[in-house]
Order: sequence, then C-alpha cells, then structure tokens
Amino acid sequence: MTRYLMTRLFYFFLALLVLSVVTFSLNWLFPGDPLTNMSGIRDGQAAYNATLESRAFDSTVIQQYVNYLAHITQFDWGLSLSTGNDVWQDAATYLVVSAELVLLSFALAVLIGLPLGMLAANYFRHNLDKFILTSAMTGYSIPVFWLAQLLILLFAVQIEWLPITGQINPLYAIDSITGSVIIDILLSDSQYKLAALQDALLHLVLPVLTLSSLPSMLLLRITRNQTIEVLQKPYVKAARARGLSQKRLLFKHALPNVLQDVLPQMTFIFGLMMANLVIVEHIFNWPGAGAWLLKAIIERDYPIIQMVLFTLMGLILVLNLLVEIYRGWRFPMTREERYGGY
Amino acid sequence: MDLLDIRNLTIEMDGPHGRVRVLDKVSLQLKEGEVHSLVGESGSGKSLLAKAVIGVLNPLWDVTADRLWWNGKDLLAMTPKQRRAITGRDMAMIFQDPLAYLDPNSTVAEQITEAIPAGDVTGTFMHRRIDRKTRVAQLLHRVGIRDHDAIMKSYPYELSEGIAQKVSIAIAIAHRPKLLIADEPTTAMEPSTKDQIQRLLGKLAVSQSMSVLLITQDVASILPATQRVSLLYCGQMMEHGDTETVLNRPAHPYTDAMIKMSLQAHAELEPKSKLPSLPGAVPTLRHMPIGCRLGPRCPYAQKQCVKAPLVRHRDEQSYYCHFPLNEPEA
Amino acid sequence: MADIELYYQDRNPSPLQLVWFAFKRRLAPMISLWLLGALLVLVILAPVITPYSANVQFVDAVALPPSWTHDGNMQFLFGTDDLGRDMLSRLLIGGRFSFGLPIIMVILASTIGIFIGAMVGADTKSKLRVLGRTLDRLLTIPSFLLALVLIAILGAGLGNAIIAITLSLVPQFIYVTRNAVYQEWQKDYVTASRLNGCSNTYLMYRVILPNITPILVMQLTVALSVAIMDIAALSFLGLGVQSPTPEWGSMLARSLDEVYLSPWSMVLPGLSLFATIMAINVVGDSLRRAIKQRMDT
Repeated sequence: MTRYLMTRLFYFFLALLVLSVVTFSLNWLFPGDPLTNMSGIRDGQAAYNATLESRAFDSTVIQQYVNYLAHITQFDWGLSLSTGNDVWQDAATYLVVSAELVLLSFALAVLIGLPLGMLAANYFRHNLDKFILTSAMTGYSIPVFWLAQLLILLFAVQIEWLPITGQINPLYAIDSITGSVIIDILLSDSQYKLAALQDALLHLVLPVLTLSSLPSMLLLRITRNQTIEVLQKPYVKAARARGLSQKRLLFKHALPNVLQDVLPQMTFIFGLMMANLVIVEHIFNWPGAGAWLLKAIIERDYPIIQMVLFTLMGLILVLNLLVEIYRGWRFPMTREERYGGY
Repeated sequence: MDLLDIRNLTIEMDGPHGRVRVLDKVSLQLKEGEVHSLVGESGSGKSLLAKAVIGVLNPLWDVTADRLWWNGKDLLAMTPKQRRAITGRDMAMIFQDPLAYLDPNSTVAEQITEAIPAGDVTGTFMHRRIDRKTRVAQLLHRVGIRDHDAIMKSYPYELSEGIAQKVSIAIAIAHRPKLLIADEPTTAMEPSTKDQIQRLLGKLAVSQSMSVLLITQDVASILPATQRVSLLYCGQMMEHGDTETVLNRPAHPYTDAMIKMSLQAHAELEPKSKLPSLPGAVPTLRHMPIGCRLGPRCPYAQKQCVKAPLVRHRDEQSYYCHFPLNEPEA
Repeated sequence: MADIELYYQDRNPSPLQLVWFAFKRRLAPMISLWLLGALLVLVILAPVITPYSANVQFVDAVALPPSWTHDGNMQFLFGTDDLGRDMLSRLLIGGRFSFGLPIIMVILASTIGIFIGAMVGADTKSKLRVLGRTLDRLLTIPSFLLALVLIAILGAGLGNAIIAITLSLVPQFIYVTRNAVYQEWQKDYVTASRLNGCSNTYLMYRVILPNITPILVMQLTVALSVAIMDIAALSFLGLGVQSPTPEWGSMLARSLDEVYLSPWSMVLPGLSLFATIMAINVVGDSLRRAIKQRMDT
C-alpha cells in the first residue's frame, strides 16, 4: 500500500507540475507582455521594475519558472488587470460560492445516478429499465444551457415557483462573509433567518438541478452498464448458487465490484461539472468562479484566467488522487493493475 | 427415496437461429451419500443440468420436467424464495475456474463466513465473531489448508488455483450440504493439484456423508470413489449405471468409444490401425440430428436410429440404444 | 459470374459486419442514423433550399410565431425572430455551423489523434511510461476547459473556436487509440503475425486497425457529440460564432432575453441541437452495445 500511495502521489505532483508549466507558458502565449500577464502589473507602473526583479525576468526562463512556482505556492497569483485587486483574495469568495453549488450538485448526481443505475440493472430488459434508460439518454443529450432555459421557462415563468437568478433576494441584506449563502445566513444575525434560508434554498434549486442533470444521467448509465456486467460475472452466479437473496447479492457482492470501476469515472464526471459550471453560473447570474472565469476571458484578465483554470483543473486532479487512494485501499486488486500498460 | 430425482428434464432456449433443445429428456437419480459421475463432452449440457438443479439458469430459458424432485419435493413448483432456502441449505456447487467464481473484492474469510448458517453461531456479538473465526479456520483445515491465518486475510487474486478451489470447497461445505455438485473441478489443473482436489472430494464425501455429483469431460478423470456413472451426449442421456459394470461392459457405442478414447493414451497403437475415437465432430446446436443424436457418428447406426430409443435396462445399468454392445450370450 | 451457390456453406462475416448486423436489428439507432443522414443532406443543401437569406430582416413580420399557431403565417414556416429574420432559414444555415463544422473538426482531430495514438501505442518501451501516466491524469480534464484555455489565448471568434475545439478533441483520440492499440498488441494473434514476419507497418494497418475500428468509430460518435455541444456552448457564451451568424448556440443565447415574448425562438434551435446530439448518442450507445455483444459471443 505504501508503495502504491507513493507512486500515486508522485504522479499527482508530476501532473500538477505539468499543469503549472502549462499555466506558466500561457503567459507567453497570451498576447502582450508576459510579466504583465503573470503579475498583473503594467509597464510604467511604479512597481514594475521591482516585480521584474522579484519574478527574475532579467534571468533565464528556468529561473523565471522557479520563481513563478514559488509565487503560486504562496497563492500569489498577481493582481487583477481590470480591478487591480489581489487575485487570490478575490478568488476565495468566488471559489466558496462555486464550491457550494458544485458540492450540492455532485451529491445530488451521485444520489440520483447510483441507485437508479442499480435499479435499472436489477430490472434489466424489463420495462422499468427501458424507461430509466430512455430518460437517462434524454437527460444526457440535452445541452445544459437549453435545459436551463427550459427550466426557467417552466418553473420561473409559467408557474412562478422558483426565482430565476442570483443567490438570494437582496432585500434580506445578508452580508457575504464566506461566500456560501447557507453558511452566511447561519452566521448572520438577521431576524428573518428562516425566511432567508428558504429563499436561498429556492434560489439554489434551478442551478443545482441544471448542473447535476448531465452528470447524474451519465453516472446512471455507467452504473447500469457496469452492474449488468458484474451481475453476469461467475462469482455472482456462484453466490446465487449459494442461495443468497437478490438484495444481499446486489449490495454485498455487486455493489463493491461496480464501485471499483465506477469510481474512476467520478473524476471524469466531476470534470464535466467543472466545464458546465461556467455555463450554468453565466445563465443564473451566480457569482462564482465559473462566471468569473468567463468575465476574465472576455476582459482578457490573464492573472485571473490562469488562477481559475489552474484551480479548477487542480481540483479535478485532487479528486482523481483521492479516488485512486480510496480505490487502492478498498479494492486491493486494483493496486496491481496497470492501465493501458503504462 | 432418492435424494435427487430427475425425470425427462428438457431445457429449451431461443437462439439466433430459432428454438434449440439443449437438454433432451434427461433422467437421473441420485441416492443419499452416493458419489455420481456425469461424463460428457463440452457442449453436451452437463453444466446446464447442474445449473437447472441448483436454480441459476438463465430465466429466459424454458425448463420442463416430468419430475425435478429434491427429497420428494418438487423444485419446479417452488417459489424462488423457497427454492433459495433449499439451495442455500442442502446444495452447494463448485466450478471449473475457482478464481473467477470467488468475489475479487472480499477476503477469503468474509466469503466463508457468509456461507456459515446464521443459526450456527450464537451468543454476544464478540462471541459470535470469535466463533465464526474459529469455524472458518476449521473449515480451511478440513479442506487441507494449514496456514489458515494467511489465507483468511488474502483476496482471491492472491491465491493459486489449487488453493482457490480448496477455498471454494470450504465455502461449499460450510453449511453441511447434502449434495455437492462439482462442475469440472479439476479440468484445467495441473496433475498434482488435480490429484489433491480429487482425493479431497472423495474424502469429504465420506467424512461429511454427502452425495457428490461430479461433472467431468472424460471417463479417465472420474473420482476413484464413484459408485455410479452417467454419460451425456448432445443433451441426451446415453447410458447410466454402476461404475464397474458400465466401464467393463458398456452397452452403448458412445460409452464404448469414450472408454477406448481415454485408454488411447496408454495403449500402444499398432501402426496403421484405426483410431478408436468416433468419426466426425460434435454437431452444432443449429444442426442437431433427429432421433438419437449420436446417429451420424455411430458405427452401428441403422434406420431405426432416427427415432430416439427408449430406456432399456440390463442388470445394474440402463442405456438408450437400439443396438447395444456386449449383450450377454443367450 | 452470377452468384451461383453449388454447395451450402456457412459464411463468416467480418467483425465490422457482425457489429453492423447487431446494430441493424434495433429500430431506434436506425431511425437516428436516417435522421442524421437527412440532416447532413439538409445542411449541405442549405443555401439552395432556404426560402430567404439568413440575415435579411422583414420589418413587417417581427417576432412572428410559427405557422401552425393562430397568429402564424405560412410565409414563415417556423416564424421569425425579434429582428424579423426567418427562423427556418436561420436554423438551416445554422446547422452548417452547428452540425457541419463539428463533423469537419472531428475528422481533423481524429486523423491527428489516431495517428499519434497509434504511434505511442505501438511503442512498448518503458521510457514513455511516466509521461503516459501523467498525461492519463491530465486527460480527466474535460475538453471544454481546454477549449476555454485556447480561446483565452487566441481570443473569441469563429476561426479560433474551430481551432480550439479541434485541438481540445485530439487528446481523447490519442488516449483511446493508444489504449486500444496497446491492448491489441498484447494479444496472441498479433504475436502470431509477428512470428509470421509481418513488418510493424503491416501489423498496424492490416492486423490491428481492423480489430480496433469499432472502438474508434464509437469514439468518433462520442467526439462528434462533444464537438457539437462545445461549439454551441462557446457560441452561447459569446466566445465562438459571433452574431449575426446564425448558429444554434448563439441563437439560444440571443433568445435568453426573449424567452417570455417569443418562446419558439428558444425552443426551435434548442430542439434541433437536442435532437442532433440525441441521435448521435443513440447511435454511439447502440454501437457500444453491438461491440460488446460481439465480444461476448
């Protein structure tokens, strides 16, 4: 296990390093002055020459990269080109706002995808399976921005149940401390806490639904196919020949073996959510990292682009690492597997 | 009373080329404590027979039988739950490829523990735990595994084939079944392991006083302790009876050929002599001959063979053939 | 020579044929395939069959509902948008960007990706192992984020979006091809051919490629649906196709403000997008199933 852990960590940090090389070289690929792209300080500003020195721009590229690495490990991503604020300080709230949305959606996706997938597999070839599969295919094929519009049209415009945009009705005057509305409300001393909470939750419904639709349907299909495959395996037959009930068979023997192969897909699903985050936050005016990234791309605010992209991709890698460690611990067989032979 | 009583068991499935009868009116009786060998080439339906008894057949296939009785109770008339209760308590099965038939993600100890009946261990939680553990160790000892501590902790992928087969035997005998079905347990094994497993099965049959239905591909690898033997070809029963009688005085041409084939390796063949095996190949499911399915390959076949022969008896053996061999001189 | 069969004999279809037979048996994928074919024809013929130019504005027919509604007009089959442009013409022309372009992008990306993947897969030396494993991890990053990075470098616009999406599709092809080739390379029949003295090039194109074609075709469908989704998403965000060019994604972005007044301007492009992606996914899914069926038997 130690050896397994060490190799996983090694590859994780290597991947992170490659990622930082990419973001580092982005500074040259972006149009304009690399130093400005990196630090957010324009030529002619007072701090420019000092930065030139601290970022080792008078030295070799290698030295520059080392200094860049030193900066980003201290979360110094430079200043925003449009506002002049420190990027990391701004980022904290944006990231928490997104984290709230993503975590809720991911939880919902897993809660919908896994059980329904196993249910469908249990009723393989029955009408229930066909129904679940068809709806999964539909949900999987709907473009996320169109789904958002349809949901808005249905819930917000036609039957007026749910609010359309933003995190909470500004009338509640909740101060943003952490970024997560729910935590903010709980922390605040507003006298309408309960009403505010209800309002915030209603605001959350549509974005969470939209963001979790594609991942949950994808997860459902993966789980179903995997479960059907596992249920046809010899050891399940052997367990059945031992007279175990279908329930015990599903949860005791099928589920772990299904999870073993579904877990790595979780990373992929999480990645898809990260991509859709940009779109969903844009539509629902959600003040999160995705919308911030989009705004930065349009405004060509390179320090922000770098920081958000690195964080989103880094998070995907972190999840990948966690999944692999858990998998290696829970399913020892996978420790020996060489995927793709590499 | 017979422990297992099968009369005219027929299994039909819908293949891509229409309906196929994979098992055609097979009858088999098994007494309590009897070691019975079922011999047949691959595709003869011998595994299907076993699966039909244990109840893990594909639900889309049609199983019909005049009688599929377990201890006088009709298995086909039972609800799945009743059947599971019988299967779980009185029957057990081991398979050809033990590594594939063990759950790759639970340890050996977990899998054996699961097979120990819940009523067997009583007491407090901790007490039950320790009790289970000792039972698992006992079971492992009984199948000839000495280093039980190491084996209990390991996962199936860490085991060798022989050990894995022993573990699956341990799982099978955990609830003291009355019948153990062994589906080609030694076919793909190396000779020394094969010998170990065969002797273990023979020993267990006596010490646990359970019946064993051993399924094999050739006459040579039936258990030494076998009391009765049946031969299956293309889903039809050819001959069954007392091992001694059947092997020494086969009535059916197929039995005759099988015995000669298995001896072929040992006997010195004369140059240019005719091979003792049957001509032709096993027919595919699409092109099953009518009547006696051995017909096209049988050296003694005549016109009557397009009609399936009825069972005939001779002393200790029964056979399905119009033109039996080794008839006693009148 | 006519097809005279003197003797009855079993003919063994090729692997690809087997997959096709299994695929053909089911109705939904065949309908989807016909749908995609019809769409392709429509898209190619779009400039000829559209009733109006995509960008001409009819001042007297602004925000006209589709013709089957009460207020509709047969002159504009699918109605007009808020600037009085014919929806049908815009949808058809938009299909060229939303469906035609992705096909070209996928063809480009697959050519590059399969070529590189085959080369990497055939390289069995362990030198690339560390690199390969690192890249495996980076490949969990979705193509849309990669496309965003490229857009950030290149700037918004149709041409840049095409480049960005094409490039972002390549890694998946490399990955799939490399794995497939590598797995195939281990199999006994390849060793047998090698012992027969086949050269590596022959091995790759004549021995391995036919056997991994179904997998590659499946990856093509996946990539196509991803490409369609990505270009629509980029245009929706205003980073891809710029207005007034009619692209389904940018049409949806435009309709974001008029959902209340003219819902059809949102429903129609979305529906075409959804139907296209759905058809591709159904085809891909059935293909996967057919391949699996072949492997099992």
